[in-house]
Amino acid sequence: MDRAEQYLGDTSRHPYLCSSSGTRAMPLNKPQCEIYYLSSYFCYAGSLWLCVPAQRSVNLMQRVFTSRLVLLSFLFVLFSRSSVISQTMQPGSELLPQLDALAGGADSPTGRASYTSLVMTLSGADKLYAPFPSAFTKRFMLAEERVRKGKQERVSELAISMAFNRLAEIIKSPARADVDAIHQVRTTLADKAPHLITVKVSPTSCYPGEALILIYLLVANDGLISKVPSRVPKGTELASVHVAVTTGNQKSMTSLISDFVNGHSQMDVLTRVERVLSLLNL
Amino acid sequence: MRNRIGLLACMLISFLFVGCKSKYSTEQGFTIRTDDVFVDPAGNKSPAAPRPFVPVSGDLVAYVPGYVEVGSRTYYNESTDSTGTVFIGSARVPALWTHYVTFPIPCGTAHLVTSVPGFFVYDDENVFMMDLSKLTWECQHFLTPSASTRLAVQDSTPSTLTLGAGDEAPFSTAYGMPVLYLYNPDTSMAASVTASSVASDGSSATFPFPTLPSGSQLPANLYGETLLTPNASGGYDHSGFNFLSMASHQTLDSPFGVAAGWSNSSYNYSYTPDPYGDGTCVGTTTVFASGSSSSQFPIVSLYSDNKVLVGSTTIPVGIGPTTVLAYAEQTTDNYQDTLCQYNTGDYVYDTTTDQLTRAIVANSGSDSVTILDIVNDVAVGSVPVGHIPTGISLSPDQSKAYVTNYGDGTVSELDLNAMTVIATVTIGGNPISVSTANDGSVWVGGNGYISKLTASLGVVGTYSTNGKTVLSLSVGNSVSELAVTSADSNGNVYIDEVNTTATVQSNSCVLNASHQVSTLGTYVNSQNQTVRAYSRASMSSPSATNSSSALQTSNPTLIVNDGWVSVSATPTGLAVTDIATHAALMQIATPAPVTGIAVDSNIHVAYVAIPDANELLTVPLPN
Repeated sequence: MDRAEQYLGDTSRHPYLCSSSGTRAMPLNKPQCEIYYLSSYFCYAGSLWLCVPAQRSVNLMQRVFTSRLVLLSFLFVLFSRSSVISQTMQPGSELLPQLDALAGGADSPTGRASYTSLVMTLSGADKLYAPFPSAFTKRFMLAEERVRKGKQERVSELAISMAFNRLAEIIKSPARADVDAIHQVRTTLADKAPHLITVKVSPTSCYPGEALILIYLLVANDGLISKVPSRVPKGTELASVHVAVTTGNQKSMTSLISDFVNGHSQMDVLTRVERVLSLLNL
Repeated sequence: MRNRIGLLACMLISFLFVGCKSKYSTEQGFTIRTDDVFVDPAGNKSPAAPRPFVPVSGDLVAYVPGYVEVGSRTYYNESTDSTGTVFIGSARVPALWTHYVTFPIPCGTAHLVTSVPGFFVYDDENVFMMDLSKLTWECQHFLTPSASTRLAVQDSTPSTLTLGAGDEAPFSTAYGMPVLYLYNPDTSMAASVTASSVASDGSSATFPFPTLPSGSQLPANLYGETLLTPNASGGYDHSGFNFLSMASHQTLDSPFGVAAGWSNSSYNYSYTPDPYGDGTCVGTTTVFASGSSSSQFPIVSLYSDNKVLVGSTTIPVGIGPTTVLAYAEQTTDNYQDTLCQYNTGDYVYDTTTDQLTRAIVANSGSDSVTILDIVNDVAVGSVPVGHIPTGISLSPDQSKAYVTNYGDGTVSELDLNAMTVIATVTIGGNPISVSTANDGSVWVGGNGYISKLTASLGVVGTYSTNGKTVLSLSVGNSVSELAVTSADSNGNVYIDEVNTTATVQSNSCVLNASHQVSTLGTYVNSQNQTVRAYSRASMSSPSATNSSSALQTSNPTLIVNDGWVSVSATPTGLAVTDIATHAALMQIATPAPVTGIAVDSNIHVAYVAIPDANELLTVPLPN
């Protein structure tokens, strides 16, 4: 099994993220209650003396939640460990060729529908809280169509790295990926999936579905692309170049995501999803 | 209330008892970011350029609700890293913190340092909803960037980049050569290069043109630049900052006119509760998740191919297409509802999309205009007009189009819905450009004149331009002014500012100002044809008041004003101008004259058509 197959095939490293019941819990839990509590004492920035009374502060907090929160959860990744995925991704499965074949036909409406459907299933976005999945399916398909027709900019490798890093930041994973890291993944997979991974067509940007798959791959593999030789020359003094890494004692990214989702409400999770999708212009 | 008391108690106890403390005490902290930004009078900011390697010190005091200092006070004295960020890892208690920070960074004269915020909330999981674990400091510069090259095109980048030292420390070689750091829009570092030479007075330094660490060229984007000079202490002095726009290019066959198509979508996820648990959803509906996406794409007339490119789809049109305009903004509200569910309330996902749906192109060689559906990428109609149609303008409600017919001296009025000509008027020799004012009146320019028409093509007046041939014109509604590019018999090109009110009252062309900008206004293309500037000019209200100096600065023959940025064709290339401060932000020589410019609705990019080079540039704009 070569590296490309390892990326998609090693489901032994993909424990289920879903709760044992297979459903998504969406209560307000302890952190939520605490946040709600603290919110009642939230003060306007810069002023110690302008605290907002508890009841009135709720609306303020809701606005702040929406406008300033940059935490995220990439839920399609969450569900990558779901039963759907586990059934799809058997070790050494043919998922990569399957995805590539569908991506190759995505210029036609019917082909695009099949392709985006599989990406939705793979990512688990189809399991999110209704009515988000149906709306996002249309939205994702439209974005894929618009990009393929030259009516929307491709998703840059930089945007993908930003989305991945945002995810890692939120779930408190040490993994980070810069443009080089994203490019490395694309280069590694390009020969195996030339239709899905379009690095030879566009070295620095991707189709939307390609972007989603790349983030899925990074998360599902805990960013283990440090094994891939970086294209950054040794000795280059560039402090910001960080290839995604995973430290030894950390939980897997998918476990961290699971923890995050189980500890946050539906509202919070979807807020973060939208933040990430906005980074990808989706 | 019980929860509040419980948490309060725990927070207090957390300082006293190990058990509770371990619950809340973590190894997390917060970050302070330090950025430089240019700010224009309208509040628009350029990309941030971080301040690396500068000291930051501060004092944290922890309070619990009610403003009781709980005794946790932390002092720190750190330096920012290469990305302008410092991490303070000692804020470990969930509490309200008062933060007193010292930020001894000189921002130069007439600059401001702002801090956001001085009071913040930090909790044990560092996931508090306001993301106030990050403090961002901005050195806001209201002065214009120092003049230098700020625009480059992929695959034809210069070998060097010469940058001014700005208004802070001059460049020096005493302790090493200056360094240029280039930052992505997210302020991660994209590239760094060391200067190869420094001017003797320290006012500028020349750097190898930056590339990615791999040696690859920079992706198309807008980058922030930080300039540093090594100092005696082994650190760096800040020598200024700026930005660099890397444009991409696309090879097309004779791209002549260009318009910007766009689509903006917003997404909201809202919730209405079921307070009684009986399946009746009432009360306040709260939007708790929202997102957005946007797209811009060029619509390009391909003069030699007799086609229009919409995104990547080509649509056959008439012969010799020149001017193209996009129009018919349409809003689609895709409201997706679900039934109110017992106990869970009602969740609604709402999608709203605004987009342009149509385009019109003048077919100069087939005496017609073609109307395009730019959603489905098909031509939906062709309307015969006069001889050699050139300029097009739309009525304020976008239901009508006015077309100047260069060859027969007429102007055609089209009903865009019916796709028919509803009126034609003879106006004078060689009308080439047309612009519509907000009141519906129509201004036309041609060979030695400008004319004002009513919305129904009644001639209000025709006014001599004293022998100058109009190349393009545009109405500045807020200042009752008409910007006119024209050429005299000697080939000198002018930007004339025509006072529209006084012109009509006196029945003669009254100029507020006139600027000779070039000895080149027309040029001979590869087919030995004289090609004129057909590009539409659009002077929006916020910019028009300052157009005079901007035009003078950038020496344009064509101009597109949008918001605070003017994108103009110069006799030899292209310039992007801050029309509030009259400063040329970017300029670049193009391999052939520019004939079309368009700016998208969000002012993210400008599209620039260069037919004789067979190139379409996409230029990221500073916004």
